[in-house]
Amino acid sequence: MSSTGSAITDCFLTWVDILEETEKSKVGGGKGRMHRPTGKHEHKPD
Amino acid sequence: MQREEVVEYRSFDGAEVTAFLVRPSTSANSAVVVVHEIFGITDFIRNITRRLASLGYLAIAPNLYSRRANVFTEERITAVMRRFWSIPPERRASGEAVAELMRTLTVEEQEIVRELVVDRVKTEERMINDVVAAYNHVKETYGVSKVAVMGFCMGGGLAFEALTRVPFDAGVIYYGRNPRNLEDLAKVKGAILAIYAGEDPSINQGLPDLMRAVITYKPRFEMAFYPGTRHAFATEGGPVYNEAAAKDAWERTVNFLRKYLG
Repeated sequence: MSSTGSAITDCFLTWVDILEETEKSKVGGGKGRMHRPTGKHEHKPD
Repeated sequence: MQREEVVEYRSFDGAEVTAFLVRPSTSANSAVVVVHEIFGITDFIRNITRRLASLGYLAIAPNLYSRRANVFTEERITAVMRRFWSIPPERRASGEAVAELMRTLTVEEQEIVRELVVDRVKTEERMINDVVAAYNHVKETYGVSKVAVMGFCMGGGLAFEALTRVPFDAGVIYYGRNPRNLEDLAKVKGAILAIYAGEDPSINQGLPDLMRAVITYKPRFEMAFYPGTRHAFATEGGPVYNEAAAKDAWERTVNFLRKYLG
């Protein structure tokens, strides 16, 4: 993801990607783009 | 025994900002302002604030969503993020694509997108000013001699910017965006500890410019880089939490605070 020039929007869009990747890989059991969630922790974004 | 409470302070525009405050068991000579992630005051942020108090610091985490706390909840922000999945990744920053998505959202969800994406410059300035007001509040109210700022993700970028506005004695930046104007590094009084995840492209693309600015303006600057980790790796309970890296980063954080706050 390229930077939008904003700490807020960059963070927002980074989290869109993280959630998409980790939640979809949990549901589908497929591989994430970089790292799969370990499954050790329940998803609870902060 | 540590004491927790929710306090209010007056910000730059007269608005009352609420904050999660933890007082250490002994009298504090130093304080840390904790700047939250995009999800607001979460269990993670409360726990970080408690940990800082257990080190003897007065720790305060302003809720930068105070003005609309009923709308900006962790659950609703997360739900809005999921709605962005319908936009192809390469178009998620596009104003046109966001405007299309907005038409399908509830009024509250629209407000979140407006604040965090569409009107981001205005929102960011207000949040930075709320952090600056937290610094002033802590200095005026609690009789501490030194104040640090610590921020995570979105809060990391806001904390980094705030370091250029008021004379914090130290700043710990967890994967935060660079200050908008890197020449402002010349104004930073305190020492900086900047922590980065190896796999965090939108933040890390700013690192070459940051390094050049560090060499030019020479702030006291320390950096830790964690290969194989992602943005938000220190968020305990989060989907990309990396325990080994988080523990190492926290150890560095504590040593850094001890060095500059006492």
